[in-house]
Amino acid sequence: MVFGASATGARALTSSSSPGISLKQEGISYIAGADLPAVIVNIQRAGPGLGNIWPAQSDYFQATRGGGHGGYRLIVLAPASVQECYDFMFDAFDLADKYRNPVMILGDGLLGQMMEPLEKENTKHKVKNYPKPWALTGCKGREPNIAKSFYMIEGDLEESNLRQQKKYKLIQQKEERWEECLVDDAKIILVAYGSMARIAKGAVHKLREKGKKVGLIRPITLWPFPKKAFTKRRAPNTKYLVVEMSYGQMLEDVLLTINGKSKVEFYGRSGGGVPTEEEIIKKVSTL
Amino acid sequence: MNKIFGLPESLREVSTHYCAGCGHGITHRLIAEVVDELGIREKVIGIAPVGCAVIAYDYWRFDCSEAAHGRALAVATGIKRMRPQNIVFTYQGDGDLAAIGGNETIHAANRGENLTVVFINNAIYGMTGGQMAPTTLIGQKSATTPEGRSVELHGYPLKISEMLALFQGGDKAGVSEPDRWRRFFSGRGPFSLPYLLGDEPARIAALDKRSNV
Ligand SMILES: Cc1ncc(C[n+]2csc(CCOP(=O)(O)OP(=O)(O)O)c2C)c(N)n1
Ligand code: SF4
Ligand SMILES: [Mg+2]
Repeated sequence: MVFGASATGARALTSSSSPGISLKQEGISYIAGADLPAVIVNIQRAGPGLGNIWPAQSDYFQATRGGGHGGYRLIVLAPASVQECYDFMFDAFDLADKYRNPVMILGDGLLGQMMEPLEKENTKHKVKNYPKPWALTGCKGREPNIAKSFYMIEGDLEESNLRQQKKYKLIQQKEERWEECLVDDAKIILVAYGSMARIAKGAVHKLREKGKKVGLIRPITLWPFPKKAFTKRRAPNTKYLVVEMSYGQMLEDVLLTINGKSKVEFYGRSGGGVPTEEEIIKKVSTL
Repeated sequence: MNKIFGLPESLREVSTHYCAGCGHGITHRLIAEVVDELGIREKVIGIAPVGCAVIAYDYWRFDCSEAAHGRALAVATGIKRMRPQNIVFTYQGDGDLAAIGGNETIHAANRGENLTVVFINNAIYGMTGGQMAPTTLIGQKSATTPEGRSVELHGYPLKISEMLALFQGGDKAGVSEPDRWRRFFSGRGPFSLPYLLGDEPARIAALDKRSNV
């Protein structure tokens, strides 16, 4: 349905929680293959399988590595507050239209159940109208449009793949987003996203009170992963601690980005277990 | 001079990839003729299936979409609900509509979506090499039923049109299987063309008129 609605040029969204998102992967792959804009919200629960309905961050691989078949990319935004859930929705639709690419908003059960104040700055968010000459509207006064991801003639699919790779490069260059907290003099930098980052931030402030030089990098775009946040801070005496509600998924992107130039440690729980401030502080004290 | 036969505007002048004697090409043409007769070429949006007719959009000359296997009615619903002013139809095989897409078919019909479905039931998975479909006839040999379809092992053929006709919204979601259409396919195996439609009776009339030719 999202494929069809989006193919007409409408702004289309679907949302679910982990198992439902697994079910949608075939369609997401088709949407990506047909260069259609769409927004997909995944409020992650714990897995695998039916798992349980507690918060988790164990769908990071699924979100950032494609999820469905065929080697496509989703732009993935990770809000950490109710305010950001609201704000990022505007960004998500704009990014989707701008690049003709599906965008995922990746939250978790903590964020999904959260209640907190929200400011609606209506002037800040203007709904942009992107021209969509490719939309299916009936071929009045023009050649027919076709929404498709199927390329049977030899070479055509490779050409389409390469065109998409160019798009992905451009997105990587332009759209990396992250938040930094007290990183400039930090000897230990925590890395966490979404609601996990809020807990990590709490730990950073408590550690600062004890005089520990600790900071936080919070990736906001999970894909493109915000490499620029790390590349200027890869000294041998800087230590990283990745904290996730998983057993180490974003960790792999941090390792790839740090590329052996700093030490990278990990602390994570999943299956509904959420790392606490105290647990993070304890882990930091062992580094 | 009166032109009585020619290439429909809604059909491209290309040869199809279908097997010799296949009914898909004929149905494509029939649809193109009906679209022309109704003067809706610039208004119609077609959804091609996964199956032998996957590139039907290369033969028609109007806006079209693809759909994942079995999902044509979901895609069509998305299109029609965003663009109620357009006429939206799906073109689906029996593997597509009755097997993997059974759920979409049932719910789209039950919701009474204002869509037309052209159901090409050749009682087989044609594209993938002739495996049994839910519509394969009892005793019919296929790649996966070399001894013929057996009721004990495979159950009875699924009667899609009859099933949909039972729906409470049956007056809204009508099912029709005009006998006269059959003669287009006579001698070419169990090929029939039921279609299901919403509230645009003009289309039934046009289809029936066509089949009188
Ligand atoms: C999800 C998925 N499963 C399987 C396939 C492979 N596949 C392609 S066509 C087809 C069967 C099509 O049969 P039918 O709908 O009856 O169309 P026909 O070729 O007979 O016209 C299958 C199983 C696919 N493309 N996608
Ligand atoms: S396999 Fe059957 S449906 Fe497919 S092109 Fe050949 S005759 Fe037509
Ligand atoms: Mg078939």
